[in-house]
Amino acid sequence: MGKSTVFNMLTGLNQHVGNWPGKTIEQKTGVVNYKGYKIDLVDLPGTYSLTANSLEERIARNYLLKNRPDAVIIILNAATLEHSLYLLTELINLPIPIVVGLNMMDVAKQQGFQIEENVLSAALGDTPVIPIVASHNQGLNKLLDAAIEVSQHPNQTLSQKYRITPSDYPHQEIQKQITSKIQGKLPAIYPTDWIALKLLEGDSEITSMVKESAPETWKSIEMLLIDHEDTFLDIAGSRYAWIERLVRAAMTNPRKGTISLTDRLDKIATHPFAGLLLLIGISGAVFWLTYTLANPIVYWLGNSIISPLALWSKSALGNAPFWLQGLISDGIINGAGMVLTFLPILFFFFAAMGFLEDIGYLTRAAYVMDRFMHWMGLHGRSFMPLFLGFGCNVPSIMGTRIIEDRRARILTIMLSPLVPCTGRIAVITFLAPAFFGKSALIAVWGLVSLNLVILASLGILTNKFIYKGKRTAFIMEIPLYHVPNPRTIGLFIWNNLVEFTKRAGTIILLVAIVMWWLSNYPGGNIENSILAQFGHQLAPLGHCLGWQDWRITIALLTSFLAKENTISTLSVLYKIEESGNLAANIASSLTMPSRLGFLAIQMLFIPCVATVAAIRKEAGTKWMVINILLLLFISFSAGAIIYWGLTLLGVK
Amino acid sequence: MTNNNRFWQNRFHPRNNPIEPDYNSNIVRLGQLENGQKAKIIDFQGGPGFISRMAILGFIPGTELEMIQNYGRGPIIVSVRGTHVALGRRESWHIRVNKPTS
Repeated sequence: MGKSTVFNMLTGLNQHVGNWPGKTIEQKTGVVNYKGYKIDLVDLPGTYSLTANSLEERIARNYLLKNRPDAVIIILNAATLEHSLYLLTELINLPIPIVVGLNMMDVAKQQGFQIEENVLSAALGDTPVIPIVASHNQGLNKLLDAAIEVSQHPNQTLSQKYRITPSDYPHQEIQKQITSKIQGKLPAIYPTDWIALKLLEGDSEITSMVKESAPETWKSIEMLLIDHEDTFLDIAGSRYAWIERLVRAAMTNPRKGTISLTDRLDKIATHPFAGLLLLIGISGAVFWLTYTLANPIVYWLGNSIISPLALWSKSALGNAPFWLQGLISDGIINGAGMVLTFLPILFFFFAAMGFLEDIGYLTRAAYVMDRFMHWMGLHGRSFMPLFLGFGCNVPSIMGTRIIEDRRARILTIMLSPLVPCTGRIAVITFLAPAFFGKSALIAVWGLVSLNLVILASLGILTNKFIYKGKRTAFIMEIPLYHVPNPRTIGLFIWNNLVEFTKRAGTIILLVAIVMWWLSNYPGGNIENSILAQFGHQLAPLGHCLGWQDWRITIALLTSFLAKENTISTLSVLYKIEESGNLAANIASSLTMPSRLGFLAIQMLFIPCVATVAAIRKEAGTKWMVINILLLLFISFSAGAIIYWGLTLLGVK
Repeated sequence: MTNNNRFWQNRFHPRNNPIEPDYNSNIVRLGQLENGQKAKIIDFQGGPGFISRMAILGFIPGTELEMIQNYGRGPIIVSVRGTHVALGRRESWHIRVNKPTS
């Protein structure tokens, strides 16, 4: 809670987003230059505990144990103090100096209670407790001061810290017995009493590690553990009992039965019916705003920047060889440059999503959608990554990490490419006006709905026939609403746009160049090019679906590299002249049924290469292959059904 | 929707729950509480993974919960230790609480 805000406030643009080594979970690192110190900050995954229930928790604790940072800053949420203190009770068992940032003190005051940080600090063995308001950058310097201070006297802080270990749980004796059994038998990075505690908590990762490292004593340890199977609740219970005492001492005017703003807003936002209407309204507003605000900019960029630039470069390079002129003007500027004009769409979409996430609305959306996600054997949490997929499928697949259960996670990953991303929506909104005239808007909505209907049906069928109605636990904390932080939203937009631009600058640029080359050699014109020959080979496929023009087939194939390529490839292949309108030229070569069929295939086709790579990383090669084959099948069946259906109905 | 819901009720309603029948006693399922009712947790019926996740969030036998939102179907929201937590309908049947007096 507020951890990311603190991290963003401290590092700003000096942060690097990557992955944890060998893991798919996002790792943010950053550098702060403060008072002559160069501080490396690592944003550990947000967790409730250090028990290996989830990948995040494993990453967080392995980082702490293996890398032994100089200090750990833990951000407690004053508004939900008891929950955030649980992680602290786990941290103080580790030999690492701690600094506590007490966030949302403003919210606490609003709710009429106060937390005395001195009392907390004293109870924590003089661990520094710094009240902060992360979103207003209050107290963050003091937080850094304290972190520098403790990191310079680790031994002193640690000895103080150990005095307050909440170890009055009833199974202390058994912990001691286990500790003596494993003493010296495990890698030195693990504190022995901590291992014993984790064994008693039934931690799967630690259990198998001990089994491997100390096979000769494992039998006797196992006997002890079996005798005390119920220890976990005792340990968690004693931690919470300790927390309750701490909170009672440190909190004045604890909250009474006041109805907060959050409660009032949630009367609507989480209501089964009103909440659903609100969600539909908000989603509608997001898309309407995104496209209303972005489209004029997209057209302006295309017509006033990219096209003139291409023309200018052609004349400026008038004396240059043919290949250089064509490559730069048709290949790079018109091809890859055109794709960059979609950036405004992504900007507004991610701004809206960042805002909804930051104020805390997306959790409510997940809650409201839980009932519907159950039809697919998923639960509310799967809704958030899927919704993000309207922007781009890659963050959507990355985002499935919030789903703890692997089965539900795989299904969400398999379904997410069916959410039409901005790339695909940009392609159909670009072509629809020329294809369908006045009915363009209906066609676009129809195609988007088709994707969503197929997504839902696929989910329901998978649940019914493959997973046979198995379900996973839905447990989700509902945070208080809070005032959005411009910096957090700004960085969310920035990181996503940088990702997109990187792709446009690398893979899309490469495809545009290759396409240009393939379509101009040998001979210097498209009709005799390598691409044309390949396209003619695939002609029978196109004939089945009603398009006679091989250029459409090629454009579709290049959309595998990036969905937006359809446009850039078509603009390279149709060689937009000053007079002609690209979409109109394409429309003239297709009949009405084949236009719809083509766009349906475009919408349902194999995910782009970046998405495929993300699927492989998150779910493995097997699922990646299944996903490609599945979408290939779905897209061509849908295209063929639409084309032949409409043709048989006599639509022209 | 209705079918789906009936499935829930049949399978997880205390009357039909094969784990441990507990009708005619002072024990009810969390999912049976009405909005605003408070009750203390008695125990859980579920695997160690489920119990561990609940315990970390502060759901421990003896802890008092307050039902914030329960519309009889779909997920519920309870208040535990000052925080609102959403639980699926099934999870709400896997937590047994004492029968609230009011």
